[in-house]
Amino acid sequence: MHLQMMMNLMAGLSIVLGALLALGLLLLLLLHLTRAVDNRRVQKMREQLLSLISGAAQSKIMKNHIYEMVNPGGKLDRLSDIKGIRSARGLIVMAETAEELSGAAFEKLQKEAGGEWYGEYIRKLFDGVDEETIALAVKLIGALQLTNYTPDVVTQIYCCRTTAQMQHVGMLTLCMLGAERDIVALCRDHTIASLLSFRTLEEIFSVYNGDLKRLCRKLITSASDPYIRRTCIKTIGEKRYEDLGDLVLPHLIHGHINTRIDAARTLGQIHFDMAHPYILKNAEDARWEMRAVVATALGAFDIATDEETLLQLLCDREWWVRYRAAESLAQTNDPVRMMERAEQTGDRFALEMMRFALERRQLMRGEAV
Amino acid sequence: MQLIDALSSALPVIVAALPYVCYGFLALLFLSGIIRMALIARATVALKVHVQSLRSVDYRRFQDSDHVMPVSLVLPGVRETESLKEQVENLLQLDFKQYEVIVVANSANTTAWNSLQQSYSLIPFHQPFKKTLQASEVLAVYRSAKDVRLVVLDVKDTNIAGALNAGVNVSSYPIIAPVYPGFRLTKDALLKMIYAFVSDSACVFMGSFPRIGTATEGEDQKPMPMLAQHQYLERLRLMYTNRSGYQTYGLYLPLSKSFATFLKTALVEAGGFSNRAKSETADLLMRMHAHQRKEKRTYCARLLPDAVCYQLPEKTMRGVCLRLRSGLREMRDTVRHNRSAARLLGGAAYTRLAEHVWPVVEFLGVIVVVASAALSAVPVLFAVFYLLLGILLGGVQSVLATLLEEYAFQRQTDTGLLLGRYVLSILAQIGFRVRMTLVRVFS
Repeated sequence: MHLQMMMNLMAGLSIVLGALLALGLLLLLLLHLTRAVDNRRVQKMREQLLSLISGAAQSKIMKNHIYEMVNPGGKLDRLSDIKGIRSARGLIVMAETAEELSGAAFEKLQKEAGGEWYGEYIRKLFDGVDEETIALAVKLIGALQLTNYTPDVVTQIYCCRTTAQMQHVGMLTLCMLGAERDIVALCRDHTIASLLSFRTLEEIFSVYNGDLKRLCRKLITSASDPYIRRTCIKTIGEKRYEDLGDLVLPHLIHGHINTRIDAARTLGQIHFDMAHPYILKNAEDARWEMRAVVATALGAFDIATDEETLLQLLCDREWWVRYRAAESLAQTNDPVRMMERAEQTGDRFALEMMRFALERRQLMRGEAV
Repeated sequence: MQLIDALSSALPVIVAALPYVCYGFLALLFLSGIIRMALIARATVALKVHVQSLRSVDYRRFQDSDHVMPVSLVLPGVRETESLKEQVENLLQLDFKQYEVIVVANSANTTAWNSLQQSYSLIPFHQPFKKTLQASEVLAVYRSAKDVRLVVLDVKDTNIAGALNAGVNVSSYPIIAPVYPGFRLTKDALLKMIYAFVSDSACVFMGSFPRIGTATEGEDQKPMPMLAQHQYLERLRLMYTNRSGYQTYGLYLPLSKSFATFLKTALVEAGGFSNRAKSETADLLMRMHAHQRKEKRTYCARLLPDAVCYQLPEKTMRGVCLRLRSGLREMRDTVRHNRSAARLLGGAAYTRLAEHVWPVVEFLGVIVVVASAALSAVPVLFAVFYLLLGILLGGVQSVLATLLEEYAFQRQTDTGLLLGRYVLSILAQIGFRVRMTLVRVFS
């Protein structure tokens, strides 16, 4: 009795599994055999079948339809003509396509996505709880510069304040939209702790679509998160905003060690003369990270003036400090004299490092060593 | 004589009990099938979330960014006797803004050394470096006149751990990525791996699950030989059915010699690569886990599911078996040397179950059911159905893994290739997979 039941169960299951495998095989066979059939309807069916097993194929079909819509003379006119565009994949494909478009084509897509039909879908998503899809919608708003959704983006950041991904995408979108007022308000709000890493913040600020200098000026003194203040300090250095040096200097004098290190680097990058004595003072800092940055920063000023300090740093006990000091000293116009000076220190490691830095410089310039 | 008598008197009892034992094995077969299907379903959901989150933040922006963390790739080629040109070429072609490639080679292996010397015009270079880790003695440092990103170290030793540590000592960047010979990286491999470090400051390790392949994306995809296809399909099945084995570690222990990235500070704190370990990467990762937990730090070690690295396929069945055996040996060795960390993380127990216990159960099941049919304890049809079910369940799992990979990661679907793989996934259940199960049972 038991055995018979078992056998029946096994037979039934074997038939089900076998049928499933056979169905899959048939589907693939059909796809393969119809690849060369020159019939529009067959190819359309083939495309649809292919999109069931390949995400990339699905995206490609949608992308082609979007191009047909944005290009003049295309067969499609509206987003509502594209099947499945109101989906997570649709959001992804639209955001990716937006980056490839410009001019009238971009404006057409922007107008369609910002229109009533698609707007209804975006609003429905914002009312929902699926954070992954909301993040995709927020990204699309940034990519298509849909400024009328700025308040919604801010609301989503507040609603998902414990989700790093939403904070990342939300801030990225606000930067893409150049929403200075909202960014400043968010960064000053103590109730929103930044969950983003320092490098992520740097990257987000780099896509800011507005007056970055003004944003840095506003946030360097008022942002509640130290990472954001540090990001402003680094941006000032990288973008060479020389006239903001006086806002950076106090961070070198009073800040946390990591902020002081960033400030020293930035002040060197922008050659802020008023900071020179403070940078020099930090050459004797207990932290090697600070001494290494000072060695680089001094290289940005006049090497001749700081030669003694740099030679002193070249003899530092820490490898990275010696390396940075040697890099700064290697900028000299007289490498022979600099090697002599390094020899005079009597420090074998300093001499080794100096030789390495000079040879590396030659190699980078494409000269044989 | 007495034994034979005892056996013949016990035989009716054994034969009477055998059907129940067969039912037990049948239940286990169902159970393993259901568990594996559930794991594939879980992997599908996790993959969907992963792909969507990468798309929403658009990691590709970091390709030309100054804010991405620079990487030092270390290739320990001290035992390589063949040319290293192709591999170094692959490493120098990655889409990534700032990285260096440190090849640690032994000039005594003339073919490998000459391939580097001739292809990259190596120049002896006086480079002081900090000896942070205990490493092989570096006889000379060379830089390439053709590509400033390439640094070649000449070491006498043939110790892989020593070579890797030497590479770490010379490296200039905060992320260390060991790449073993016989692996090829896709162009966006570094970008995808490093994005995890940029987005999460607690990330100390990122592992990868190497696919089997002969060429990376963008190159001419020649059809792989049958044996290579089998290895590829088996690798996919492992990946999608054994997620529990690697998600807590960031690395699948029997495949530990793959492409991975370490945060240099965490690597140095854990003591670097150890020459007593059979698998340097897995051993270091376990020590890193132990160290981070001991220090009560918030950290994360993850595995990137994307196809970012390809392992060259073995050309013979013997090679495939040897590779599998050595992977299992390395896993055992790693767990033995790091028992406390393995116990804490739990993934090793699952991997052991998947790699050792289930194959033994499957093997025993087949033997017992076939023997029962031979002794007429169960009908022959029962044995036939049992074997058929095993084949079909395995086939469905392999097919699902293949389709999932296609859906999530393939950028261009070749229906002919996919059809071939589909058929092969089913056929492998009566050939290649049986062989793999036997290797697992007797390793």
